[in-house]
Amino acid sequence: MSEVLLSVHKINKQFGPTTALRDVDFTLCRGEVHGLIGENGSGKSTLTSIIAGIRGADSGEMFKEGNPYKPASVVEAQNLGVAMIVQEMGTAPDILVAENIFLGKEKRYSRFGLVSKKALNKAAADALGKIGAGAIPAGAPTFKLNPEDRKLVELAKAMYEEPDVLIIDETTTALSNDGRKLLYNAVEKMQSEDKGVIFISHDLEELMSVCTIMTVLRDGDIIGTLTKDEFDESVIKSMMVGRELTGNYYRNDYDGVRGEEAVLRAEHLTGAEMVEDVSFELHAGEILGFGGLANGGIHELGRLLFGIDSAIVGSVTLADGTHIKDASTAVKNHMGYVSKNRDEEAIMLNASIRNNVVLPSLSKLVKGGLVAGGREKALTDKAICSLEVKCQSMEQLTRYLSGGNKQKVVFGKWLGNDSEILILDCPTRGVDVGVKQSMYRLMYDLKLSGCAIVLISEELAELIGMSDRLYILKNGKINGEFARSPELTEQDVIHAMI
Amino acid sequence: MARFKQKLSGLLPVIGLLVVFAIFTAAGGSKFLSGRNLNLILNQSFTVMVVAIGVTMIHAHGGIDFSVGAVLALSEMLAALAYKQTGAPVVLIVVTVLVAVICGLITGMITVKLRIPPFISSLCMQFACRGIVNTVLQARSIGVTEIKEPGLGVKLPVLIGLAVIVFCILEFTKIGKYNKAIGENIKAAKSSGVNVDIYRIAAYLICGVAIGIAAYFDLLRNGVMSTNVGYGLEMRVIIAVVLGGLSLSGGYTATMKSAVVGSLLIIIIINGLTIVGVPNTYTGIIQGIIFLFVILFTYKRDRLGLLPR
Repeated sequence: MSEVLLSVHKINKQFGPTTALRDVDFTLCRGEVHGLIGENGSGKSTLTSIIAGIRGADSGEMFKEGNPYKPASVVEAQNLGVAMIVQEMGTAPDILVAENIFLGKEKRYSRFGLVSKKALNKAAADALGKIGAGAIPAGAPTFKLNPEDRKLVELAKAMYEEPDVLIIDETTTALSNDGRKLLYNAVEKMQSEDKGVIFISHDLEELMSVCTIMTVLRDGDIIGTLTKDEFDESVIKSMMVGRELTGNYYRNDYDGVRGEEAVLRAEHLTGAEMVEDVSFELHAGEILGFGGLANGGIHELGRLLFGIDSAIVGSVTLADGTHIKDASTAVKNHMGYVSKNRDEEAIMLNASIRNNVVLPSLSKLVKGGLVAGGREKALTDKAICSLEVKCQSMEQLTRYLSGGNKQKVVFGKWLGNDSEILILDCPTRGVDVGVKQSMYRLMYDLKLSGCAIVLISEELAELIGMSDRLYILKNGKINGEFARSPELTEQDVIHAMI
Repeated sequence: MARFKQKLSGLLPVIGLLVVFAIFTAAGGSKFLSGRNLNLILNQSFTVMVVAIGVTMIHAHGGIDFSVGAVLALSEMLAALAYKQTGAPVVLIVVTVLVAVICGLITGMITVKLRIPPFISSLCMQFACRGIVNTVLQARSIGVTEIKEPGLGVKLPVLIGLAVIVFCILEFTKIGKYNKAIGENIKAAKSSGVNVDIYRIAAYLICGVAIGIAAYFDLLRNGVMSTNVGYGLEMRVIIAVVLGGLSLSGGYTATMKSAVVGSLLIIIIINGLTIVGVPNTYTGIIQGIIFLFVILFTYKRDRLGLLPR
């Protein structure tokens, strides 16, 4: 056993009536890449945010290299050698990349109270270069970067301080394969220097390959810690959920049956960015998968299909000839869209579950010009029950729900509107195994009931596991079509992607 | 605990109203509580309240309207001119409402279709309306003294009726619900199928009707139309709704209660200060300070911008 770098002893944390952490003990040794895994709301982020000084614990102690450690702020934690990359966007959009990297530390590059932009930019370029992201312009305004590059800026910022402990909270979901490689390189570097990494991810496969040790949390309790040779997917999953996960994760049939009728037709669809000359037919009772690299045009395609962005060339038409020209038309014709960016585009965080769920269905609920509260409640009740949304009441603000439950609310919107065509863009992004499985079941049930689904995803396993047909987009064009088959492997599909 | 807090913050404006009332009752005594003064408070609150009720629709979607005072003046002036021409009293209400609705339509169209921030477009509207009024009137004033001012017996039912109607629009119709959804998250509203342009313009039209009604009664109360009509009304209305608990970033905090309670609060504060002997010139400063503090306490810190879109 190597030297203990950081230890946490009997940490407790309450959020109102919810216990986020209960008497948690956790140890990070030198040279460890320590994975934290658990369902949404299990306490992973709470634990790491306490270690990183973002919030304080209600009780308990922490030690770093044997000395009492109690950071009052993120900056103090950083000075003590603990840096964290948060799950949310941790960069300020309106300032330069370089300013983000050295936020609060500009003094080093200032003379007579004036910050030298040149020195700052140079140091920032250096910091970016160190993690292999030298292509990101240090002098650019941060909002001009895509979410992936902004994450890498955070990584550069964390690594530049040469921390002893690096905490990575659910960062890989925002990264493409290239970005992930940079992150893994940083992790390896930390490991080779005998420092410690705490790694949070929903992607079990990733954790199993990256981590040397893994701790499972559930409802604020530590369930157990496994060393690398004990890693086993089904064991970890049942530890997370607290019960055996039975049956196939995805679906068992391979006949790829679909309805006769084409319910949606895309013809020569070309968007302002990325999507180029995409044509296909979507049938009733079909799950049509779209895969590809994050910047391959799959997300843009989803927006075009639903009319959020308008096509430059080509069209999206329904079976009855309706032309989808904007999102209102789409919703009127019983289409639904689950956005990749849930909190920004799909949900109203400061509104109740009820107000969120009924929003697309209001036209249906109106009687004599007025929307009756009773009908709203009935619709919401149905959605909450059928999707098993964990909440206090339908009047609870959605911001207090966990990620998986927020996503269920988004699904509830479209089920409530009796959607017949669903465009799902990364519907299981950032949700835990339990919710994931119930979403797959839901998609399958919807398919069986005749609903047509476009499933856009960056997870190949999910696409292969769920789709009746699978298209791969590369640089905005369709670069491969695969029929459902038990023999189809990720290897086959990856060829079409790169 | 969180729920209790949520409830408490909803009740805060009402508690504030009671506290302010109690303070001025104690300080001003019989002078403040006299029938004449209470009557005055109601009359003074009327214009602010009617306009605040209308403007709540715009605040719901995260908009703001700096033109209400100038629009009020323009509609009063045109109504007075039309009345001088025709001599028919009914012309007054028709013209005030019509003019205010047209102004609302223009501001709304500019804001929504040209994608100009509402505080800019409504400021332009303010300048334009004030400009027309000043050009036409010069230093003159138009008297409409032949028609007797309607008493509280007419005004109170009008006020209550308008409040109930807008309350229903806000809480039970698509217009109200969509506007609040737009204020909460315009992208989510759009992707839920809401035609955000049309519903935002609808809010401006409803606000226009309210301004028109306020203009009609304001004209009859003054009996004369001059260039200083409606001066500073926009700020008083914004302070009122914010004092009432509405968030300037829009969303589900937009309620009828915030318009009604907030208007009473601001007028009682102004009136009370005058009664206890604070010079008129100071009340502006005090309003500014109150505004700043309320904004500090109410605006959602997790949002990036303080000003509405």
